[in-house]
Amino acid sequence: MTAFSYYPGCSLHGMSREYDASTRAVYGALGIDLRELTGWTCCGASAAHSLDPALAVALAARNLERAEAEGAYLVAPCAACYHRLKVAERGSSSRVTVLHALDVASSPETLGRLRESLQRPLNGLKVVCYYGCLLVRPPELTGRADYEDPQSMDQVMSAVGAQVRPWSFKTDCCGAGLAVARPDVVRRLSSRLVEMAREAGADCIVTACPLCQTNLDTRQDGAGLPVMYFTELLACALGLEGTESWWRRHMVNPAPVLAKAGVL
Amino acid sequence: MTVNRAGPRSASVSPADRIRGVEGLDPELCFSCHKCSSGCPVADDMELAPHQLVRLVTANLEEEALRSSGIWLCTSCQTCTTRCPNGVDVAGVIDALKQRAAASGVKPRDGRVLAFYRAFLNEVRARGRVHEMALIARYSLGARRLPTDIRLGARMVRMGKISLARPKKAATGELRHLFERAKGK
Repeated sequence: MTAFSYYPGCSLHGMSREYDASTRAVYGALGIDLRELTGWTCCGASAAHSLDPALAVALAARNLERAEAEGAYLVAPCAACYHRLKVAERGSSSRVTVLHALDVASSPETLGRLRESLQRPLNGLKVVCYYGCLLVRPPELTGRADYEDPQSMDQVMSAVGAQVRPWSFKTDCCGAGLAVARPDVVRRLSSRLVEMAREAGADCIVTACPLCQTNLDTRQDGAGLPVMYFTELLACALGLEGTESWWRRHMVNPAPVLAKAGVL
Repeated sequence: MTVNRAGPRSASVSPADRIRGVEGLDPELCFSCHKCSSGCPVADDMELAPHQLVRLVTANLEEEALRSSGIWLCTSCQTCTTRCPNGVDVAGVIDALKQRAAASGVKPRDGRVLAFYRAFLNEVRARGRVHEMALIARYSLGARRLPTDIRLGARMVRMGKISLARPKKAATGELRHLFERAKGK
C-alpha cells in the first residue's frame, strides 16, 4: 500500500462529491491509500491571487505546512487547488511535493496496476481528454514538457482500453471561476469546447478538475454530451460498485452513453 | 523549448513594484508581438487586450488599465504567460493590476467579478472552506443582484449538487489571524 496525503479542496466536499468518491474508490482499489489532510482549508483559488498577493500564497501555504508531518507527497484532484499549492511549494522550503491526482494515476507503476486490475475494458467508448489550464500551465511551475499537447490522461484512458480521439482543445480554457459572475463568458468558452469534442467524434469528455467538469456539463448547447471525471471511468473499468449514484449528479446523464458503449 | 523565466515571486512586494518589474514581472521586455492576446480566450470580451494592458503599464499609464473591466475577465489560464517569447508573466501583470485596483478602491465599469472574489474571500475567512450556497448568497448581497442562472441553480439544488446544509467550519480562528497579517503587509 502506497500512502499519499490528500487535499480534496472545497469543490470535492461540495458540488463535485462524485469526483471525491470516485477518486477514493479507484485509488483504494489500486492499493493507493489517500489520507485526507486533517484541518485543511481553502487554497484561496482565483479570488486570493486576484485581490491580495500575500493571501494568494499564505492560504495555500498553510495547507502545505500541515502536510509536512504527513509525508512526502500531497495529492490534489482539483487543477486550481493543485496550481495554488504548487505556487506555495515554489516559494517555500517545504519538503512536500504537490502532485495532481492524474500524476499518480499516470505513473508507470499505476498504469501497470490499472492494466492488471482491468475488469471491463472501455473498448467501445470514444473519448477526448480535456486537461484545461492549470494542470499543465505555466510549465515552469507544473514541470510538464508537453504542456501544449499533454499526454498523461490519454495514457490513463488508453490503459483501460478507451478509444482516445485526437483533438486540438485539450488545454483551452473553460472559463474557470467566472461561472457565477460572468456566466455569459463561461457559456461561450465551454459550449465551444463541447461542440469541438462532438466534432472530434467523442461519446464523452474526460476531465480532471471540478471546475472544468461543472462548466462543461452545465454550460453546453444542443443534445447533451456527457462530461466525466477520469476517476469515474476508471471505476467502471475496474468494475467497482456504486457508480450509479454518481451519474445522478451529472447534468447530462452519462449512463445511456456508457451502456451503449458496453461499459455499464 | 527553453523556458526562461525569473525565479519565485515574493509575497511581500507591493503591487505597484511588481507591476514595475521586479522579480520576473518585467513588462519592459514586451516587444508587442501580440502573442499573448492572440491566444487569450477572453481578449474579444476585453476593451483592452493583454498586450495593450502590458503597454499601458510600461508607458506609466496604468490608471487606464486599472479602470478596465477587462482585467476582471482574465481567467488566469496562464496561456499568455506560457507563450510569451520574452518571458513576461502577463497573467502575473494582470493579477497585479487587479490587486492594485482592488486595494485602491478603483471601481471597475463592471463590478461583478470583483464582487464575486470579495464574497469568496469573505466566505473563506468566515468558514475556512467554501460552501457554494453561502458563496452565492454572499455574492448576491455584495453585488446587489440575483445570480443570472437562477433556473440552473435551482436544478442543481434539486439534484443535490448544491447543498443547502452548511458544512462544519475549519480552522477559522487561525484563518482570521492569517487574513489580519495579510492586511497588515
